[in-house]
Amino acid sequence: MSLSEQVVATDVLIIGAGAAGLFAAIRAKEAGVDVVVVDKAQSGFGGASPIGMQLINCAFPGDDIDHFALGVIDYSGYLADQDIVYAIIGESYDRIQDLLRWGVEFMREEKGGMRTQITDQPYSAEYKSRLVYPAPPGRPVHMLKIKAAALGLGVKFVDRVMLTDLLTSEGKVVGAVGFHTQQGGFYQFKAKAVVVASGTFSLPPKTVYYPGATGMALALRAGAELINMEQGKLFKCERGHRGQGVGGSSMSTYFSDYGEWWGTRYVNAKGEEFMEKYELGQRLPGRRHWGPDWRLFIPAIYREWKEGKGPCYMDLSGCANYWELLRKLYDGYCDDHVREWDYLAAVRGTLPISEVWRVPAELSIGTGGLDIGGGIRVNVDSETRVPGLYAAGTVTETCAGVAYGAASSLTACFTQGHRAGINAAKYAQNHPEPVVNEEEVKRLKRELYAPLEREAGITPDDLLANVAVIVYRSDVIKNESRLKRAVEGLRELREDAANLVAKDYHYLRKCHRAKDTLALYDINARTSLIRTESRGDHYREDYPLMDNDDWLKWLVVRLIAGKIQITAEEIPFEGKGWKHRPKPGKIDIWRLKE
Amino acid sequence: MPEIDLELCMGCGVCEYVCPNDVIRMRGQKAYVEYPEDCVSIRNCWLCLKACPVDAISWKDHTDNIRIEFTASFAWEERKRAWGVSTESKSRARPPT
Repeated sequence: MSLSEQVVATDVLIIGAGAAGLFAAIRAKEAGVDVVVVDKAQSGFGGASPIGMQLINCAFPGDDIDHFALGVIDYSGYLADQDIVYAIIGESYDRIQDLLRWGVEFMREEKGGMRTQITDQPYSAEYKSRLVYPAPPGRPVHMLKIKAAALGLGVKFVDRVMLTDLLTSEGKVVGAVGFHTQQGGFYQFKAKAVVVASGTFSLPPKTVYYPGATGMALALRAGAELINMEQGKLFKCERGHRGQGVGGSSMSTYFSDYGEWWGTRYVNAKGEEFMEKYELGQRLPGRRHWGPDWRLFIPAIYREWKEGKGPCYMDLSGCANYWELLRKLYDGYCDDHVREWDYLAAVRGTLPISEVWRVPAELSIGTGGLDIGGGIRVNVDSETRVPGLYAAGTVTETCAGVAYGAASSLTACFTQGHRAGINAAKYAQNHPEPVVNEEEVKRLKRELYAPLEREAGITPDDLLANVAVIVYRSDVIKNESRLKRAVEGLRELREDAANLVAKDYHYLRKCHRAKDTLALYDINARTSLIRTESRGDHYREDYPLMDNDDWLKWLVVRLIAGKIQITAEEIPFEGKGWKHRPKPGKIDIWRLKE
Repeated sequence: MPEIDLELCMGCGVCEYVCPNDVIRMRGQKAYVEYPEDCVSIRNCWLCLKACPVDAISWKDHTDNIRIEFTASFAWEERKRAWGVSTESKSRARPPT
């Protein structure tokens, strides 16, 4: 096999061209260093950012930043690094100004000011946050504008290249290797600093987002720490029921985000509103906004099933004027999404959206992929513990309160990308040309193409589906025996993963994704087993209490000599002088209403 | 999943360019859905369909591609069958060509 080989030398290498990666690229380039951005899709179209550009959290001057931060920190079960949360919220207004400068448009009021809304945070009506709305919502056009700003500065882009490993020398990161996912050519990047901004990952069934697990896994292999890996978020999706709905249309996002504010109810098979049983249900008087927050739902739905009252549904009959409310909120901007819905409805022979809201409708609730909340551990300057390696966006410990959904995760991407870019450029300016170990490059290249050489083995699709079956079985409602079975099952799959086969370069890309996804869900299962309490997005059936006496700890994962090592580390509330501290004692999140 | 009308396709390649999951490939002067299994076809992707300048792309429904209902989340055997997962973890793959 003779393949083309490319060697690219630069100051700062950025992995991933989403919101975090592009912010980092622009900031590093502005600081006067050479920047190359690598993406495995066409940059600007890939990743989760184009889809997420619907709602952005932002604190305007004069807003109560303490209050916004507390909401995020409380949501994270006090796992959030409070320095990072304050940085993200405190700088959010400046980042929105950056976006405006680059030509990103936002919805405006009649008088011309930016349309903003202070809303309840999803977890509790006690905490608020402010939202701004890019216009049109959820379209790649915004990312293309940011990319255009980067191109204007002279940032270089390398598209359709997947990076599989970082190059290290004397404990420092000095570059990365990868391959072209269409032509197969080998790429070697020499860089003084690397920013990983490749997003978080999810599982089949078909996931919403395109990013893969490789970014997180390659940082771990290069010596970075992962943190909060037991946190997992099961996203929901509405699925067509009785012919009215269209599961999978972009409009279904709006059902979940707004429907609940406007009277959608969640009911079990008998038509009972099950969330009302819980004291938690009382925390949101007058509204039923459980939307983005599956973790509140899952145990409740599970109980309904155990009592023989499943499946559970979204009952839309309570918000007959939903359609008008949505129009009012989004002016003309939702028409595009409406056209999508109607087109898909026509393909499937179901009702157009204008009709859906006229009939007493029900949508059943589907799973929308299980995202891992944890990620690469960074400090407030987006540095990892490996010199020369930075990380930004959802590839970092997003669960740590900085992200509960599209809105605030974008805010986090902007600020973390901004800081990673500035600091990586500074690092690159102060360090000499990297020295790459050619033997290491040869070894990594051999490993990279190995699945193409094998004659027989497991396909990446089969491996991922097997991982998904094990993970959904153990990870939605966790308990000790399920998790132990999962660890066992994933160990068997690791043997299979050594025999992945690819029939072409497209499949080679999937092989790397599957292998790394398996490795990270394995870490997820092992850390879940260790955390014997429920906190944040981690719910243990056998330990349902949030234990603030013994478990105000982070679980930190390192890879030492090929072995996963997990240590519990006290959260430094005292040491760092953090403002917000949880109440002591054991707290039952799932108290029934008296 | 996109369906490409080869009579209309003029071979500009914009669909291949925009697809985030590398589903569409150009073969000569025509676009083909090369890896249908990787099309996410959910939420607001449909980039190929919107990008095509001559409306040669339409949508074919592919229900397996959407999602598994929550009802199935606790019905593991059914779920496995629905996904076509072999119960044996070691399955044979086609050798590379």
